[in-house]
Amino acid sequence: MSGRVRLAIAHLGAALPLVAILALIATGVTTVLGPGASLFATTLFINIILVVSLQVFVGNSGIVSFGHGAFIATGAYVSGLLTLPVEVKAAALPRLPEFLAAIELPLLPATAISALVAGFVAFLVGVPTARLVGAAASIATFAFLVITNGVLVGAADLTRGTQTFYGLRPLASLDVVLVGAAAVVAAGLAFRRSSFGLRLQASAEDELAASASGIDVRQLRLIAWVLSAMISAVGGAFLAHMLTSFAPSTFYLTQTLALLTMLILGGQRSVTGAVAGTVVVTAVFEGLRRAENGIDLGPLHFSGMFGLQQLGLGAFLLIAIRLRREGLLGRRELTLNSLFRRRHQAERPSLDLSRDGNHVAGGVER
Amino acid sequence: MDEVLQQVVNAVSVGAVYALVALGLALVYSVLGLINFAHGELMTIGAYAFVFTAMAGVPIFLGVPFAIAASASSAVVMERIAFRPVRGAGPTTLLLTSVAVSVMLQTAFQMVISPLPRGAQLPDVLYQAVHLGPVQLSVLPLVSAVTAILGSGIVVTALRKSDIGISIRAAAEDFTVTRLLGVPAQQVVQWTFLMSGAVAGLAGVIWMAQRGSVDPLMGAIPLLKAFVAAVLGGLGSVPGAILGGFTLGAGEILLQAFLPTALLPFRDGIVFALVIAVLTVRPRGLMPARLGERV
Repeated sequence: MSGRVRLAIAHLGAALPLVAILALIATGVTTVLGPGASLFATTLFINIILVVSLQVFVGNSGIVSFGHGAFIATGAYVSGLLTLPVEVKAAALPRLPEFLAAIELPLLPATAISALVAGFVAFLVGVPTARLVGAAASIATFAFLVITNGVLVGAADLTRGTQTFYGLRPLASLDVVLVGAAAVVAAGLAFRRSSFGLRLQASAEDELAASASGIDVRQLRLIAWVLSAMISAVGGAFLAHMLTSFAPSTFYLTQTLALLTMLILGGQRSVTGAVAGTVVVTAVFEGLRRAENGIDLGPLHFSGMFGLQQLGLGAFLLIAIRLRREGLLGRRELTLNSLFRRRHQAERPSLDLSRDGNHVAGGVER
Repeated sequence: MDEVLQQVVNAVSVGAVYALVALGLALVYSVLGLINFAHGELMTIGAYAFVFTAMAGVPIFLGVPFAIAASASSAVVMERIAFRPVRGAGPTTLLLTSVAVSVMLQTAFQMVISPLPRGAQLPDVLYQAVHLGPVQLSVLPLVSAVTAILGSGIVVTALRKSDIGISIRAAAEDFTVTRLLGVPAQQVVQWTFLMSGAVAGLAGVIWMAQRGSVDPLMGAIPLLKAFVAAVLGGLGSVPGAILGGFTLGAGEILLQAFLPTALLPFRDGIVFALVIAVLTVRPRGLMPARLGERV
C-alpha cells in the first residue's frame, strides 16, 4: 500500500516543473503587461484547463472528440444556476423549479456539483459508445454535441434557450483559475503516467494487441471519458464565471475547433504539449486582436478585426503543422524526471514514425 | 397524396445533395486518409462562381459548368498548396490542416467578397409547381434531385469504367501496390481532388439555389451533414457515402413531416441520436469500405 502511495506522490510531483511554469506565466503576465492583462491570463488558464481535459481523453485514447463542448456547457449552466443571485434568478428565469430558485452557492461547491453532473452525463453517453473507434467514435461525440446544443436551446425554463444566460458574479479570479489549472495539469499528468493511462495509450497504438494482452479497452475509454468530462465541466464553470453571460452558441463548433487546434498544435500525446499549444495559440490570438485594434477601419472595424485574427491563426496553423507534424512537443513531457533524462527521451524514436512514413500506402484506419 | 409524394421528392432531393457532398468527401478520404473540412468551402466557391456569372448575364447552362470548373480547379490548387506538404501525416494532422484551410477561406470570402449573402436571379420556372396528372410538385426539389443524382451517377460511372477511375479505386484499396504497378501517385491524387472538387461545385450550386443566396459560411452546414452521412454509410466507401446521404436526408424529412410542432426544435438532436444508435450497432457504418481488416 505504501508503494502505491509513493507512486501517487511521484505522479503528482512529476507535475512540479509545469506548475511552476504556470505560476511564472501568471506573475510574469500581470507584472510585465500590467493588471489589465489579468483577464488575458485568466482566459489562458481556463483554456489550459479545457485543453488538458481534452488531452486526458483524446491524447490517451487516440479518439478525437468533438463533444467536449457539451461538458463545458454542462459545467457552465449547472454552476451558473447554482451561483446566480436569487434576485437575478427571479428576473431572468422566472419558471425555475423551486429548489433551484432559492439556492445560491459559492463558486467551488457549484463547480464540484457541475463536475459530478457532467461525469454522470458522460457515463450515460459513454456506456453505449465506448466500443466505437476512429471516425465513428468522433462522429458519435459530434452528434452528442449537436444533441446537447439542441437540449440547451429547447430547455428554455432552465437555460433561457437561445437567449443570453446573464447575471453571474465574476467569481473566477486569476488566483482561482491558476490553482485550478495547476491541479488539472497535475491530474492529467498523473493519469497519463498511471497504469490506466498507459494501458489506454497501448490500446490507441494497437487495439487488437492491447485487448489480446487482457486490457479492457472499453472500460478504460469510459474511465478517461468520464474523468475528462468532469475536468471540462470545471473549466466550463470557471469560464462561465469569467464571462458572466453566455449562450448555447458559446459552447458550439467555434469553441470546439479552437480547443482542438490548441491541443493538436501543441501535441495531443502529452500534457506539456497541450499546455504549450494553448499558450501559443491563445497568445497569438491575443496578439492579433491587439494588432488589429490599433487600426480603425470605421464602420468596417468588426469584420476587419475578425478577419485578421482568423486568417493569422489559420496561416500560423498551416506553417506549424508543416514544420512539426506531431505537434510542437510530440509525445515529450516536461516532468521532474525528464529534466534529468531529457536527452534520452527526446532521442527515442516515436513508435509512429515508421507507420506515418508510409501512411499514403492506404487511407486506412488502422 | 400530393403531400406524401411531395415529401418523398423532398427527401430524395435533400438526400441526393447530402450524397453528392458525402461522395466528394469519401473520394478524398479513401485515397489519402484526409477528412477534408475545406470541402464545404469548395461548395461555396462553386456557388460564388455561379452567382457572379449569373449577375454578369451568363445563362444557366454555361454558369453551372463554369461553377464546377471553378471548384474543381480550386480543389487541385488546394491540394498543391496545403495538403501535399503534409501528405502521409497522421489523420488528426491532416484534419487540422483542412480545418485551417477552411477557416482561412471563410475569412477570405468575408474580407474580399462580403460577409453579406449574395443571391442570383434563377429562372422563375424553378419556383413553380408542375402538374403530373393529379399530382402537383414543386419544380426546384425535383430539379435538384435529378441533377444531384445525375452528378453522382457520372462520378460513379467514371470511377468504374475510366482508367483514371480504376486507378483511383485501386489506390483507395492499397496505394503502395498501386504505385508498384506503375500508376503515377501524383496523377491519382490530383484527379481525386479534381473529381471531388467538381462534385462540390455542383452541390454548391444546388445548395445555393435551394436557399436563394450564398454567403461566406454557406459550406459549413452541408459539410457537417455530409460528414455524418459519410460515416453513417461507412467512411471511405463511395456507395456507402451515397447510401448514408440518402438515409440522413430521408430521416430529416420524415421527422420534419411527422414530428409534433413542440418537438421540432429537437429535430437535429433526434436525427443525430439515431445516427449514434446506428453506429453503435454497426460501428463501421452501413456499407463499410472493403478494407482488409487486420487480424
